[in-house]
Amino acid sequence: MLKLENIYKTYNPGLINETKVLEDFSLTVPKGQFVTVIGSNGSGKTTILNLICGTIFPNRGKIYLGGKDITAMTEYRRAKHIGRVFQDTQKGTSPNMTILENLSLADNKGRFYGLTPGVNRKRTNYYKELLAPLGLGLEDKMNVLAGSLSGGQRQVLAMVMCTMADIDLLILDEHTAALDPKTSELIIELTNKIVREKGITTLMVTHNLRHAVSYGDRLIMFHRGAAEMDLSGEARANVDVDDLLDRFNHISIESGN
Amino acid sequence: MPNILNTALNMSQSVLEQGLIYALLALGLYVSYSVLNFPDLSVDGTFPLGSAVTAVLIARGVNPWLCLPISFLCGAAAGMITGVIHVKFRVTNLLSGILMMTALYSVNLIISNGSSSLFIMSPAMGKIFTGRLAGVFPPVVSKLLIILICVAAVKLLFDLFMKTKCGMMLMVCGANEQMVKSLSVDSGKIKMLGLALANGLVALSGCLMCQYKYSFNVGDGTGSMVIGLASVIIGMTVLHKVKFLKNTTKVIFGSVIYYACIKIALNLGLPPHFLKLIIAALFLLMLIFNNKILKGVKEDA
Ligand SMILES: Nc1ncnc2c1ncn2[C@@H]1O[C@H](COP(=O)(O)OP(=O)(O)O)[C@@H](O)[C@H]1O
Ligand SMILES: [Mg+2]
Repeated sequence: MLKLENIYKTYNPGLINETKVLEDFSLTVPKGQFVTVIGSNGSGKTTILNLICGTIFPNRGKIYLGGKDITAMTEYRRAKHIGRVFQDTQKGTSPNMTILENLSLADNKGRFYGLTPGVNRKRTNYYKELLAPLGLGLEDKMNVLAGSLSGGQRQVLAMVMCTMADIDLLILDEHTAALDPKTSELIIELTNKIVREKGITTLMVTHNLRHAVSYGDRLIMFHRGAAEMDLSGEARANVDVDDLLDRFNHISIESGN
Repeated sequence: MPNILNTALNMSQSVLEQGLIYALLALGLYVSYSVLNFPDLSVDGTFPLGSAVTAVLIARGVNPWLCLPISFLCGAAAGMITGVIHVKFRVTNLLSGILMMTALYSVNLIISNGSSSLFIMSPAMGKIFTGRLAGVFPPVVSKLLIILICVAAVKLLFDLFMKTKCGMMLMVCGANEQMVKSLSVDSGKIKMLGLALANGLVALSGCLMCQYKYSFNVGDGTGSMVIGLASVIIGMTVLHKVKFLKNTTKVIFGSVIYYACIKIALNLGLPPHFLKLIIAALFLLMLIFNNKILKGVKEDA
């Protein structure tokens, strides 16, 4: 379970460019829930994900994961329990390593990176079995550098890498936004498959309203650092893209832009 | 005629010897600049650090072979401190190196007890080039062979290390620091480790050079960064297309090539105190002419 309690976040406090993003923000995500998050640019979505992952820290408030207070825990320590895929397709893999090497390193997550061989050839077949069902032919490119793959291929690889180890939370920040429509569909389908199979608690930010309504069990619309709309259960099941567009327009008119 | 041939042969032998010693320096630069993506200036201090430690230890009768690992460890400690300055105190990478380099200038003088140069003259003082191993080889090539053995051993060990989980993590850290964190590893520690390894190699190079030239000079370090970096870049550009060569091999070749260029420039009649000017000018020339190739290499990396 993920819990954010009375979070305050201000960038550059006391300076001319001070930006208050979150004020007394709280959010609880039960174990196994798949949450889709939408909201206009600058509404604070990435800020919240960064707070959860420990990339930045709140000015006030508490963050709990699995009942444990992680508010002051560093990003790399939290990463043991959290998997994250970024919008930037460069961030999930190491371009100077082959697919096999990338997977091998990810396979060791949570354990010591010492002086034992980085690649365990015996696991190659297991990795190929992971990649084969994805239909991109990555399993035949085990010795190709990740840097020479397409953005979509890298994102698929990143997705597989960050869900290889057992994690308590999956964070996806517009991870299909930089891809062409076809690849974007492929990644979202893969995401849904992995999340459902493993039952991972997931927060997925997306700009694709159709994805937001078709996937997940709960939908949150952000506006100025607050949940403007938070639907689950029947309300969530009955919402469609037009409803979301209406709400967006409504908000835009209210805030005068 | 045989005279000219003899001179040429002698010269190319000394180029090979010193080029190979500098190859360890270049390997160090390869670690910090290429692998870690960290422009580390502490090398200008860690190269003479290796020399100073070696000169003093040998004068005290310490086994010259033992000086190699000790120098490595001293350099590694200095590199580690550069890393701590950068990671823990959030000083920029360039400034951290400059701070370390400046501090090391004094540290090196403290080690040499205030003298700006030391000589290991007396035959009683052991050097790896006069020891038992040297006796095994024909005297003309014994120095070259000993250097070759040292460099080859370091290169092989280094190549092995880069295949381990830890070594691969260094590669990842330079290319995508976020991924290191995502794998739940402290990227700060990886940087410190990388800088320790890099400067350990550089000090090792200084140790060999001290035993080779029978002397330590506090000014020797100036330009180490440039020499090492030039070697790395020459190796990676000139041998860019040769896919079957490991990067470490290319760097070693690069070092010999660069040192040969310096030696040729000196032999065109310029006095020895032009050395650093030549080092810098050659590097600049290379940067200007190779800009296109360099861009290609960067994109590949
Ligand atoms: N590192 C930062 N420094 C200063 N302001 C920031 C920083 N990151 C985000 N902001 C500001 O915080 C607000 C929320 O940004 P963000 O969380 O990235 O929004 P979203 O992801 O919803 O588009 C924006 O006004 C943005 O300009
Ligand atoms: Mg964002």
